[in-house]
Amino acid sequence: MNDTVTERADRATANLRRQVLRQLTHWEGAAERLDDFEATASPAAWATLERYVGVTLRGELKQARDQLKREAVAVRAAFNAARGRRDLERIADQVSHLRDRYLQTELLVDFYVDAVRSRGNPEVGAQLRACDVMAERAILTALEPLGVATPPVLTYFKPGIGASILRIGTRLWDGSLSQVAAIKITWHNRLRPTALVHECGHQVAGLTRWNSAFAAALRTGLGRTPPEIAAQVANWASEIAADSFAFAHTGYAAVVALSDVVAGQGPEVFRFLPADVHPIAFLRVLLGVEMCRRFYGLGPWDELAAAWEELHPLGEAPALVAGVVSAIRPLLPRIVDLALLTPLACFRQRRLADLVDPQRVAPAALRLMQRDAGGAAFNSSHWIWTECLRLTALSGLRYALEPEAGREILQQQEDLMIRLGHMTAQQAA
Amino acid sequence: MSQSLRDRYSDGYEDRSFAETPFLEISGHESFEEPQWGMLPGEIPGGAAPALELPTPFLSIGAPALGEIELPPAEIAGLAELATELKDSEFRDALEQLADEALEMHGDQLAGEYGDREMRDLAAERLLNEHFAPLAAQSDAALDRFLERLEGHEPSALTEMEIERLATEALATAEPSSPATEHFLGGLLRKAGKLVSAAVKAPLKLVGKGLAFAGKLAFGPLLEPLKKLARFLLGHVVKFALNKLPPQVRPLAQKLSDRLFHELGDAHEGEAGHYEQTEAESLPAAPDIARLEAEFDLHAAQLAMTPDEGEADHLVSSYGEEAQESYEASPLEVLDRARAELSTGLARLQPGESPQPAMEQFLPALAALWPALKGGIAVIGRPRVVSFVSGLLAQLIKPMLGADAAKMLAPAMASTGLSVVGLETAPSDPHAVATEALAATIEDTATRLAELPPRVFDNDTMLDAAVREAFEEAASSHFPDALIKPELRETADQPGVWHRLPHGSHRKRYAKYSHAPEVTITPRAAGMVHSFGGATLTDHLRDRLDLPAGRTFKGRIHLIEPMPGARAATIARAEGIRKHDLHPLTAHAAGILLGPNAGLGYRHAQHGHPSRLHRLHVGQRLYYIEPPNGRQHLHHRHHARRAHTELTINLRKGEIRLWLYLSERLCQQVAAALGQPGGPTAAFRLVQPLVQHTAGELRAALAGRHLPPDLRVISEAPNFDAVVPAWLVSVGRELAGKIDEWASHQVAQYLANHADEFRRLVTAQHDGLTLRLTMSIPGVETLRLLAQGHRPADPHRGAWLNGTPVFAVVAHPGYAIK
Repeated sequence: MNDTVTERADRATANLRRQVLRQLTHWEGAAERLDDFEATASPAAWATLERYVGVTLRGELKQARDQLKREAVAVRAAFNAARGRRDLERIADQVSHLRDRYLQTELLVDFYVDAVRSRGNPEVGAQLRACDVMAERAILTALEPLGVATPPVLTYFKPGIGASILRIGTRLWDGSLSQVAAIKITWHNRLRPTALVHECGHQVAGLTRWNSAFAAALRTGLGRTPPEIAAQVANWASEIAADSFAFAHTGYAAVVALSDVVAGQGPEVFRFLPADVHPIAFLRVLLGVEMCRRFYGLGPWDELAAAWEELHPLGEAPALVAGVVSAIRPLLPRIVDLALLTPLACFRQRRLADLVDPQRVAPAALRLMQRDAGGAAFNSSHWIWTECLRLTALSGLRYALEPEAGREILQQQEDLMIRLGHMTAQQAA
Repeated sequence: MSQSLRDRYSDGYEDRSFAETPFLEISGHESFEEPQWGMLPGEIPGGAAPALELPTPFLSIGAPALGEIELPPAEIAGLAELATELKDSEFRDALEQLADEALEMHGDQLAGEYGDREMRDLAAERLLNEHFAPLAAQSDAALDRFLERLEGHEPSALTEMEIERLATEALATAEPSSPATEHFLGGLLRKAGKLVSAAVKAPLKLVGKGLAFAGKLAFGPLLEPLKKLARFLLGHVVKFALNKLPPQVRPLAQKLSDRLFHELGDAHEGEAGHYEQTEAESLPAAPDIARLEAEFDLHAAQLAMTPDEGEADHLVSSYGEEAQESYEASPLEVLDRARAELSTGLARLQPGESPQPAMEQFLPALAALWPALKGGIAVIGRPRVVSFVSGLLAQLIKPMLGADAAKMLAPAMASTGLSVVGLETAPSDPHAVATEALAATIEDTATRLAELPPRVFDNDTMLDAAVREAFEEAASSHFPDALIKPELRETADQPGVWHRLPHGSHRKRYAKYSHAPEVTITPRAAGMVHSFGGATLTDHLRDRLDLPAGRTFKGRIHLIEPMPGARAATIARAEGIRKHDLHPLTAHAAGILLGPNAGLGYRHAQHGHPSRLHRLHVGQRLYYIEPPNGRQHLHHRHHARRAHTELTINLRKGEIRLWLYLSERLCQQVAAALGQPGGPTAAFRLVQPLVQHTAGELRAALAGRHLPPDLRVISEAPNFDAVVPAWLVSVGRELAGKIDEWASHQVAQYLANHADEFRRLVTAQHDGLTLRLTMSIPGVETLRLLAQGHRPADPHRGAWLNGTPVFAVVAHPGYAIK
C-alpha cells in the first residue's frame, strides 16, 4: 500500500513538473520574442526621432527586455535545481510572477513602440518631429537658465479629449524609471498644439519641484482667504502651473484653445471633485483671461470672458460649486501674480515670467514679428526654426480672431509643422 | 655619415641625450644597443652627404617668372577659361557626399579585414561601383532629357538663360534619392549647359568640328561622350572613397589631348616658373575633391573643341582608363600596416633592444604618402635620412622605454581624462599606454619633419636640430604635461593629451584632445575668429547655432588634428557633427579662444595649398563648438547653409564676378532691417562683412601658391592647376581693396534701390538668397599687360585702378552660385 502512495506521489510530482516546465517555457519564449515586437515599428519611424531620443528610448526598452530575460533565466535555473514537490510549487509561484513581469514589460514596450509606430507615415512623422522640437524648445527655455538638462522628449498622437504626459523619472509598469518624457497630443488638437506646451509645463515642474513651491506660495499668498479655499486652490497648483507655462509661451492662443476643449454642457463646466488636481473648468478659463488682462490689458479675451459667462451662467452651477467659484473668483488676479510674477526658490528666486516672458507673445509683439518677417514668417526656414513657438502662438491668435479663415490658418500651421519636421529629418536607419 | 656625428655616438663621447629630451628627469632607464652607423654607397667619409638630385619630367611651379610670358593659342586660353567656369561648388560638395554616403552605407562590408588584400580591394571597388550604377543611369537619362530639349530649338536662337532653363527642366523630371544625388545631377546638367552655351557662343569655325555638321551645331557629339565622362567620374569617386587615387599628382596640363598639349608647347612653363621649396610646407591629409572635379572639367571642356570623334573618344577612354587602373596597395594602407608594425615592434622590445629597426620600416611608409615633386617631400624616405632620423629618435625615446617608465606614465595618462574616452587597451595595461604614446610621438615627429624643405636634410646639424625640435613638439602633444618640461608644454592649465582615433585600429585617421576646453566667445571675438572660406565665427554662431546677434556664447570646444587619410567628412561622421562645424584652430584663433592655452593652436604657416575644409593638412588643428546643451539637434538644423562667397576675375572678358550667398537667417535679418527707417544702412552693415570676406580671401590666397576653388582667375595664360599667378601676387592687394570698395558700393546701392524686391524674394521657400555682382575692371588693360609679363608704368600707385566699373547686380532666391 505504501508503494502505491509513493507511486502516486511521484506521478503527481512528475505531472506538476511538466505543467511548470510548459508554463516556464511559454513565458521564457515570450520574453525572447519581445525583441520582435520592437521591430514592428519600421526603421523609418525610428529614424524620425532625434538621435539622442531614439538611442535613449531603445536603450530603455532593451534594458527592460534584458531584465525580464535575466529573471526568466533565474527561474529556469531554479527549475533545473528543483528536487521535489515543494520546490516545484515554489517555482510555480515564480513562473506566475514571471508571467506578471512579462505583462508589465509588454505594456511598457507596447506603449513606446506604439508611439513610435505612428511616425511611419511621412506626414504624421513630420508633424510629430515638429512637436518634438517645439516641446524641447519650450522646456529648454525654462530649464537652461536654471542649469537643468533638458530631457529627451517623444510626442505621439492619440484619440481623446485631453493631452497627457508620462514624465521622465516616472515609475513604469515594470518598475523601471522612464528615461524619456512621452507627451500625448490629441488628434483633434494636433494643429493647435498649445496643450503640448501645457504638458511641457508639467515636465518642467517635475524637474524643478515647481508644484510644491507654487502650492506653498498659494497657501500663504492668498491673503485673508479662508484656509479651506486656499487649500483648494493649492490643490490645483500643478494644473495652474502648467496653464501658466502654456500662457507664457503661447499667450492668448493657449486660453482660447483651452476654452474650446473644456467647453461643454453646463454640468461639465462646473464639475468639481475636491481631490481633482484640475480646477473647475469655468474658473480655469477665467484664470487664463485674467493672465491676458494682467499682461496685455484690454483685448479680445474680454469678449471671450463675456461669451463664456453667457454660455455658462453661474446660476446653472450646483450650489456648492457656485459657492466655491464665487469665493475663488476674486482671487484670480492674485493667483496670476503668484503663478507668473512671484519669485520662487525652485527658480533660483526668479519668476516664471523671467524665464519665459509672456510679453513675447502679446498680440502686438506677434503682429510685429509678422510685419518684420514681411510675408516670410510661415515660409522661411529661418523663421520657422527659430520662432516655431511664437508662430504657433500667432496662428492661435489669428484663429481666435478670424474664425472664418480658420481652415486656411490651420492649413498654414500644418504646413509650418511639416516643414519644421522636415528640417530635422534624419536619414532613415 | 659625417665624422662629427659618428664621433658623437662613439664610446668615448659623453651621452647628453637625457639633457636634450623634452621629458622631465626620470630615475631608472633601460639601456639598449648603440645604433650602428654604416656608410651608404657614395658617401664620403667625413664629407658632406652627396647632393640629392631628383630628375623630374614634371612642370615646374613656383616663383614668379621674369620677363614676357609666351602665350598659347587663343584656343588653349579659351579652353582654360571654359574649364575654370565649369567649377561648381555644389557639384564638388556632392562628389564628396556621394563618397561618404557610399562608405556609410557599406561600412560594415568594407571594414572586414579577412582574406587576401587584392581580393578585398577588388570586392570593395565592385561594391561601390554597383552602388553608383543607378546614379550613372540617372545621369545618362538626365543628359538625354537635356539633349531632347535642346534638339527642339534652333541652336543660333539659344540664349544662356534658355539653356539654363532647359537644363533645370531636365533635372526636374529626374527622381533623385538624396541631396547629394540631386546636387550631382544638377551640377552635371549645369556643366552640360555651360558647354552648350560655349559652343553656341563661339564662332562656328572655332567650335570643335565634331559639333558642326552641315554648317549647324549638333549637340549629340558633345553630350554623348559627356555621359561616358560622368560614368567614369563616378569610378574616380569610388577610388577617392577608398583612398585609392594615384599618389603622384600630375599637372593638369598633362590631361590635355596630345594635340592641345602640343599646341600648349612651352606656354605652360611660363605659368609660374620653377618652384623650389624653401620653407616648411603643410602636407595634405587626403586627396582633394577639387582635383577630381578639375580633371573632369578639363576633359569635358576639351569635348567642345575636339576636331573629330576620334579625339573625343581618345579623351574619354583615357579618362576611363585612369578610373579603372588598379594599383599596388595604396600608400595609406601601407602606412596603416607600418603603423601596426611600429606599435608591435615597440611593444615587443626586450630590455637592451634598440627600437631603431621598428622606426626604420615606418619612415619610408610615411614618406610614400606624398607626391615626389621636385624639392621632395619624399626626402624623409631616403635611406640615409631614415637611418639618421631613426637613430636619433631611438635615443630620444629612451627615457620612455621600459616597465618603469610605463608604470610612471599610466597614472599621468589617467589624469588626462583619456580613460574616459577609452583606450584601445585597458587602462590597467600601462605598457600599452606607453607604447601608444610613443608610437604617436614617433609618427608625429616624422610628419613634422616631412614638411621641411630639402636643405634641412642635406645638413646633419640642421637635421639633428630639426628632429629634436619636432620630437619635443610631438612629445608635448602625446604625453601628459606632468612628464614634459614646463617650457615645452602646449598648455598652461589643460589636463589633456592628444590621442589617436579610432581606438582599437591601426587605421588612425585623426587625433583628438582628451579634454574639451571651455570658451567664452563675445560677439566681438566671434567677428575676429576666421573659419574656412573666409567666414567668421559670427557666421557660424548665427547660421548654425541660431545665436541671436549680440549674445555671448559660452560652451566647450573639441579639438581635432587630422592624420594622413583624414577628410573633414570622415572626422565629422566619427564625431557626430557636420563637416561645416569644423573650424581651423589657427594660432590667431587659439589666442582668442584659449588664451594662455593658445599653444594648442596650429603654429605652422601653411604655405603651398591654403587649408580648406575639403583639403585639410596633416597636423593642422581644428575645433568644433559643442552646443551648450550638449545636443546638436536642439541648437541647429541639420541642413542650414552658411553664408558663402565666390569670386572670378576674368581678364579675358575684362570682368569680375562676385557671388554673395546670404544664409536664410542673414536674409531675414536684412529683410527686417529694410523694413525699418534707415533700413538700407542697417541692411548694408549686415551684408558688408560678406563682401569684406571676399577681399580677405583674395589677400590670404596671395600668401600661398594655389588658389582655393572658390577664387578663380582667368587670363590669356592658361592656369590649369590654379596656381597664384605672378601678376596677381604683384597687384593682388590693391585689387582686393578695390573689389571691396566697388562691391560694397554696388551692394549698398542695390539694397537702397531694390529693398522691395529683396523683401519679396526672401518670402520664397528657398533657403537664403544669392546676389551676383558682375562688374567691368577699370584698368583691365594694365592687368592684361601684367599677366603677359610686361611691366606697365608704375602699377603700384593704384591710379590705373581708378574709375567706376560698369556693374550689374542680380538677386536669385536660394543658393545660386553658378
